Amino acid sequence: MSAFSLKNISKSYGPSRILDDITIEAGEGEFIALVGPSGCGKSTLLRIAAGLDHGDDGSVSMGGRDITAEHPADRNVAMVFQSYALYPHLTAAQNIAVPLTMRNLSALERMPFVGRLIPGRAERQVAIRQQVATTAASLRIDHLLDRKPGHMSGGQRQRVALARALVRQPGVFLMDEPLSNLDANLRVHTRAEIVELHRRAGVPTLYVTHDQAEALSMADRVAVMMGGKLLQIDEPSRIYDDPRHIEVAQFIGSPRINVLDAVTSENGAVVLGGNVLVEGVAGPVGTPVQIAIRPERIKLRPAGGGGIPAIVSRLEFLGSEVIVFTRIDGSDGSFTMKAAPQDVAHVAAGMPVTLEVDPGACLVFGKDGLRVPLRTPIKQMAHV
Amino acid sequence: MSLLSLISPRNLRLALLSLGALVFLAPYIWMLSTAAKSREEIFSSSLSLWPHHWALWENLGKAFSRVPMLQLLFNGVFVCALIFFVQVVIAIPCAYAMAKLKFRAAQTMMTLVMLGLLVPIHATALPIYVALNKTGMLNSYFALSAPFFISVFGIFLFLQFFRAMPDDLISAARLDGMSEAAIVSRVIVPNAWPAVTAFAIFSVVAHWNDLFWPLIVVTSTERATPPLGLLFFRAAEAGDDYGALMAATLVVTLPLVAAFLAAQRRFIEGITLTGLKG
Amino acid sequence: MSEIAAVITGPSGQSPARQAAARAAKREERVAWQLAAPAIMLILLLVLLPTLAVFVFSLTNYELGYDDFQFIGFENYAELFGDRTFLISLKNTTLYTAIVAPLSVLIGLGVALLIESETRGRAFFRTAYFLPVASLLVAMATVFQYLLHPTIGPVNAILSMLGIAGPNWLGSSSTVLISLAIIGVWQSVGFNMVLFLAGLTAIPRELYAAAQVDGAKSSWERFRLVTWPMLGPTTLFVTTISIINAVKVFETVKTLTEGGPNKSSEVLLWTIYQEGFVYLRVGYASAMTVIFLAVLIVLMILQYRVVDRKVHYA
Repeated sequence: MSAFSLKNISKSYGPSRILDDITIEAGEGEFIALVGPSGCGKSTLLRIAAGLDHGDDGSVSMGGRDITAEHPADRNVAMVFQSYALYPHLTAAQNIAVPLTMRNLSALERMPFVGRLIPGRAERQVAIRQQVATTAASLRIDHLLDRKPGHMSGGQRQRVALARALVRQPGVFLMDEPLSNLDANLRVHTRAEIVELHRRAGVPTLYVTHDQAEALSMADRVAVMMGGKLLQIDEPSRIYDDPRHIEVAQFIGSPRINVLDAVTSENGAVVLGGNVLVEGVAGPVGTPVQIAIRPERIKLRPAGGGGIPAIVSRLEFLGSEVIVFTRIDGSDGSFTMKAAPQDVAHVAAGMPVTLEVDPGACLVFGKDGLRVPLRTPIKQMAHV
Repeated sequence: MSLLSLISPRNLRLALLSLGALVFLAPYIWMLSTAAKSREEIFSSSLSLWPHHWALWENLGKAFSRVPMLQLLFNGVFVCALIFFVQVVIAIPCAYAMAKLKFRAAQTMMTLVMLGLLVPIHATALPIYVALNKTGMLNSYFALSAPFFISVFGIFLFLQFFRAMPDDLISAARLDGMSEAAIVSRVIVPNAWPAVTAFAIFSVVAHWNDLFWPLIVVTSTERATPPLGLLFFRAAEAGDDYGALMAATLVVTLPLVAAFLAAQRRFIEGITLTGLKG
Repeated sequence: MSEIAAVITGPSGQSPARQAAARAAKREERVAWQLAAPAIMLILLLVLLPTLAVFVFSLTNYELGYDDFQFIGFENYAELFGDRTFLISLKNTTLYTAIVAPLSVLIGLGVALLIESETRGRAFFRTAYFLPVASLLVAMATVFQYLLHPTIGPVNAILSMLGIAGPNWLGSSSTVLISLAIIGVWQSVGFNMVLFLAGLTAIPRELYAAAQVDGAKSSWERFRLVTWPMLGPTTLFVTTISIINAVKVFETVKTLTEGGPNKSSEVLLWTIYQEGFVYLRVGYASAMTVIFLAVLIVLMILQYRVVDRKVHYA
């Protein structure tokens, strides 16, 4: 039984289907990242999980309990918003306390003046204050508790928002691009912190992001969404190395994976520049396919050697590595690859080179975008 | 330095502004001066601003003894406060519903508001007067304030303001367990102060200064607002004791002018906000 | 399998998710109605109903104090256009508006431009020109009455020092409308100025820099190229508001002239007030009110039309 699950969620606005039969089941303490380009439906899915929005079909359940019809407040979910959504008129401490006051004090007790007269209110408030203090300490924001959001930096606001989510000990954490408003340095730093917080809290987490690097580095499993469809949900390494769909391959990884249109020849082989890239593609001869190769799995060799002849068109120096853009001789295809700076010190734009593709680096996709299985195990990269 | 070098465009600009300001402030200068002069002096030398013989207290005394000045001021404050309070209590929830909730009648409501913006009190005065007359409710605080209990302009202003508030904030409040009414009172209102102050200024300036409606529904001094009271005072004095009259104008003008001088920035921001959107 | 499907689908034939969505939408709709209901009711009661009633009254010979009345069709309207007082009233209102609206817009713009370009005493000038807006008009009209008094008033005293015999400003039919217009302009310039100042601060500084680089040397050229077009929406709005406020002139007339002398300061709202609330001829006054409302609506429609077509938005 999963701790939190979305089953067969579908939703349409008019004729456009923005969520198409999506199922995601998160185990106890599992961190799942929902990643995809903007408009792929990932934020809507998160809002459906929170109960802020409803699907046309499917169900939401938590710990085996169906909560599809429950009001957001009754679901005990915590959500961190991209804009943080802190109450601007309340201090950090008051912001963090809101979910607790709403849950633990009655409407009468929350009223000014009158509330004080209710017996037991004082003790409950002390308890709330203690919980706020503990949570704030764990996020190291104790010194900010009396400040209002307007007087905090982006990073501080972000922590207060996290504290407000943590304090209620929710059944599930929902995070909607919580890092996208931070500057690049802080973002990388906060990633690690969120993972650590999640590990300590042990609560299943759905984390929405458009940043594939964020998704790969943080999550136990990554769910890639495109155009309302869940294309693949898997561990980060499998998402990267073994994508089930061409769009997953293209979305994950930077620089982008190289994709070439090709047709199969004899024996289900794909040949480029006299080199057999891959063999054993299912289907008759002449089947149109797409070949995808990660940039780091192509090596640059001096011109004239065995391999694919190409011409360097541009180099991008990134410090620890260099991105090399090449055009393949006698075709309109192009390849991008990563190389160590010392390996390409002598290379300049316009220079002819030879490209060597690692054996087994080729991923083959059919015209429908799905991975095509290979009939025979790859023997070796053939240098013809 | 020659005299000619003083005539730069910059100084010309300053001179022009100063002259204009003098013309605009002249009525206030004479109001103060005349309020402090005795009757004889007003008739003899109108151009000397500094009174030879101070009669300010005497004039103020006349103003306060011949009309219940404190009663007028109280009526003015009470009616303005009542109108403002009801307007805000009615308009804010409605504007919130229109701005942030999905609601089939929202479009119709918008049309209703736009129509309402077109119709001033002058157009609806007759039927409302007839109704108040038939029910015997003239000469009351209710008659003075009731027609203004709804401010479509207020709805419009708050609507614009609420639309700019982030939706995430309301989603967060719902997740935190607030009901819609709690969201209005605990999240929306505390964060709508700029709009509320702007509207307060707009509303109070309009109703403190209004003569048309009080003139129609009030005939007794007990319920008269300051403008109406001043009119009664003029009628009673045949309008020629300018010293006392100026003292009275000073008293009724002072509250709002003092409020304006004390909170100028707010005032001008408020007028700009309400003016530009209205 | 089909059994399970039947259970999930439920009695209404909808999926539970759809039912939950429908319930949530219904709840939201209900809450929205609850929040908006008082406002809706008051708009109906205090705005729409009275407006309709004015139309209905305008077709009757209803007079307050007489309980029975007849529908007389458009007779009131026919009478209006033969009514000398009403026609004078229309003429005077038009004349007053034709003086006050352009002057208060132009002076408001002028003052705003001067204040915007002057660094010294900005706050003081803004306060000085704005003060009339925050002042009780009835009170200030009384002050003007003293200022413009033919014998003891300072204005005529200054004029006579210059050797000019001042007119009987508010007492003579040839000058009364001008005198009221002066007060009207004095009162509304500050409001317009503040709106223009807001419009001016909204113009990006870079545009002036760009205009200078592009060769607009004099400040007049920069005004023509940048300020005036960018102020378009503000100007249009200020003009409409000024016209509408001028058409609604009432306070000064009631306080100072009561339409006199000799109906030469008879204006629309004053005439309506007299007919409706003094003579209690509700039917007849309602017809006037309908005309008044029609004027306002035409002005608003004109504004919307111009907004659609002409104004450059940033």
